[in-house]
Amino acid sequence: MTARAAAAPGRLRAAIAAALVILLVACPAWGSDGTRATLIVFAYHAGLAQMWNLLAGYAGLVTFGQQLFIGLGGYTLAVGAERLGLGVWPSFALAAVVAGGLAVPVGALTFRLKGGYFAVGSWLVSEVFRLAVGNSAYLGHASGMFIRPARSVEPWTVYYLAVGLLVAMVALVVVTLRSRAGLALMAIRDAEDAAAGLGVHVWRLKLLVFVVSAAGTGLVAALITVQTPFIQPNAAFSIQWSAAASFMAVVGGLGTVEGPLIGAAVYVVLQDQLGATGEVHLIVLGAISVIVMLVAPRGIAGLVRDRLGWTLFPVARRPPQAAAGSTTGPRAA
Amino acid sequence: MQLVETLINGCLLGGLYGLIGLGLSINFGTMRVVHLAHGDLIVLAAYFLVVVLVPAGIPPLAAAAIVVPVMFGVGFALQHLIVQHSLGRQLDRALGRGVLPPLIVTFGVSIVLQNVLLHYATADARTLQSSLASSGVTLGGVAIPTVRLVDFAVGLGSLGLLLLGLGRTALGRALRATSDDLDTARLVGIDPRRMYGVAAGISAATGGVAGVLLAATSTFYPSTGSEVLLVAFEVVVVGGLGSLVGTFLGGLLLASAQLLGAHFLGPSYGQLTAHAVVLAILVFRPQGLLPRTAP
Amino acid sequence: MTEPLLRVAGLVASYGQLQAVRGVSFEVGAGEALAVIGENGAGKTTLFHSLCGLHDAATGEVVFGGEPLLGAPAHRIVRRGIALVPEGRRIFPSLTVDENLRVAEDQHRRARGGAAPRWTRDRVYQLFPDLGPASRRGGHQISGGQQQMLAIGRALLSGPRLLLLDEVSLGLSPAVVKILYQALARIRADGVTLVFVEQDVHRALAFSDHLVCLHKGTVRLSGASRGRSLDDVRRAYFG
Repeated sequence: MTARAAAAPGRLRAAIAAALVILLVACPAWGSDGTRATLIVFAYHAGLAQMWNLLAGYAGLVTFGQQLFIGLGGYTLAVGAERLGLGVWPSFALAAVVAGGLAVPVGALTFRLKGGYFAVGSWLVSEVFRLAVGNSAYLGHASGMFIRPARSVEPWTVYYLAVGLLVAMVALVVVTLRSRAGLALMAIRDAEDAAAGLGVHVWRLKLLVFVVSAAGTGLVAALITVQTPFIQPNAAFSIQWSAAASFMAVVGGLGTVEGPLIGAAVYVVLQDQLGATGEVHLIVLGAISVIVMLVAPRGIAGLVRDRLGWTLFPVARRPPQAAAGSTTGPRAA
Repeated sequence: MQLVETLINGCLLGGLYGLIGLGLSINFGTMRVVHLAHGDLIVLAAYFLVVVLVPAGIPPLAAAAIVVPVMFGVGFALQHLIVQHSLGRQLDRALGRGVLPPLIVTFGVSIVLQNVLLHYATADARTLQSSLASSGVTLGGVAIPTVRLVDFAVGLGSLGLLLLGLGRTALGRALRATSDDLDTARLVGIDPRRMYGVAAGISAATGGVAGVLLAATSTFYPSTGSEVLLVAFEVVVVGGLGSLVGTFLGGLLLASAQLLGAHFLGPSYGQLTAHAVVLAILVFRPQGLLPRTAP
Repeated sequence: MTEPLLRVAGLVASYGQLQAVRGVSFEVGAGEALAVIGENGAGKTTLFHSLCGLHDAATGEVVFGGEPLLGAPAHRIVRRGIALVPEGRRIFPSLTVDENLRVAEDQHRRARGGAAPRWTRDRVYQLFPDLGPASRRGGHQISGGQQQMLAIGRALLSGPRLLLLDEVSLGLSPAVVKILYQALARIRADGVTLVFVEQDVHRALAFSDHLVCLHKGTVRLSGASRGRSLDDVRRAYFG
């Protein structure tokens, strides 16, 4: 049974979405440089959160190693543009390929660990890359690399790239979740053993999602790196990326499409108000994560859904109502 | 000779590494929670010793004796007030089948702890000033810093105490039963919340001992908690989930790998070597050195 | 008519949308033996789990020893005097046979304070002599029959007034089953009330005072066991 959305709200949602997109595209007309900068920051944080949510909220894979793909994507862009002379845009595409490609062996290895051990194992793999990159003269050791070709990239180009990337990611997530693969994914999330018993290729599907998430993260990283435009191992492979991603996904609402967007907005606002660096900002983030997880585990999107019944991107499926008294089902002894 | 000396030093340092992992292992064994703030609790203990107790004029040995029960209390309180509430019995679908809440909660606690330490104790490097740090002995031509001997002795002693406690006492039996099968443990009258609180307390108490050793063995910063957590994780994975002896042996292996790597490949390759060994074990023997034989 | 030790009225237990127990009612008098008969999936284990506090989503009325039972946590229910010998025995694998017994004994000691226990480890070893030589072996290293004996012994050490047994003889040889029922007779003589699941209908009828037949979560037949035949039971399912 496909997602059921009554016609009128569906058209309203489409209208809202279209209006937002138009607003974003027309930004040079109404927005300042400051607005642009903020929207770029929002866009790549939202992209990051979407990719983390894809893993945790839909595939049941909680990871604290997303920074591996940030580092990989960023360094691929850096090496491609600065060392290999490939040009900024080809290097962009390469970042997704490298990140996605390396996700295969990394996933194959770390999937041997379950639950919390997978989460920390991913972090460990990221640490290995951080240390290895920091030891490399070619990659500039701990001081990193400066990407000269990126200096000539126009800020508005970066903006459109960021917005386009975010819209594409949201679209990809929505389309995937409404597909058969998406159904299988949610089956895995809800009851992995049962799904496997029904013939779902659990391992393969998880790996696929892992690769997609990695490639997406790699693109986000390339975007960030193009804008900066330098890269350092300790910043690129920092646990702070996973911390931010998990915060955004959890506070916004896990397992929803609009959740990461909401979470990113909250994150960016908080960062603005409390100062991006500095311990008070992080204490507040940590405390909010804990409180939200304990008090409102479905995040803001979940609260809105439960209290008001609103969903911006409906992807949930409702099973046909069980006939009263029917007892077909699993172990009921 | 250099090889032997490095190896011996590695094994001795491994006593500390093993101890670091014991707490994580106990937590996971009882509650199935990978406590992401475990490293930070160890560092908290180190700060408590170096920044609060020692400057107050309390001799290091007495201070160490104070740290342990205080950390038990911290672990117990943290469990009862915060972590416990993330261990729901209902399997909420979007929350990764119950795995996610305790991970997010303990991670949040970790971030808060690190930054609170940063705020109040600053980012200065800290260590325990003591005669231990600079003295050493020579046994059979091998130079050994005294502090490493202490690391090993205390680590091994702690392991012994834990094994004894788990094996001989009523509480130990109850903990082992809870780790085996929570529902059946409830059926014999065990209160899970009480068990979890005690397990978390014991775990934090071992962390307290580890923190004291950490302070004596090296310098530390508020951010050291993350490194310590990774060490604990690696040690448990290498040793085999569910085995305390395995965890301790994992500590010996890991520390040796680190020192050997640093010695032969260069100082910046120590950690990489240790990480490489862990990944190799994941590939070739994912169940670890001493996996639990029970299903 | 004295108050029954256990009175269940309209018990409903669900797994999400699925109702495994759909309005079950029965009574057990003190000192009696009640047999619960039903095929796989009939709701027997869910019923027991609901009585022991292991199943959260149970509604209805359950009164034990005059006090309501539903909603109490499992470890408190044990203290009130109900013990379960679970399906699959659920022996603690990291503990030895003796330690499996001691765990229950330790908890009961904490609960009853200074009062003398009705059952001790010694009495359990007397009841099941086969367990003695195995006392130091790992819980998972003994035979199925020994595991069942151990599970019963462990439950006894909680000092129950009511003993629930989920699948007494499943998968065990006739010789072992005989030993088990002899032991159950002695336990009953000691004053413990029994509610047991038994797939072997002959056995169930022979050993029990009353019976309850469950099918798809509801009671199809209940009443005295005396004079009941296999045919009666069969008719309850297919008639």
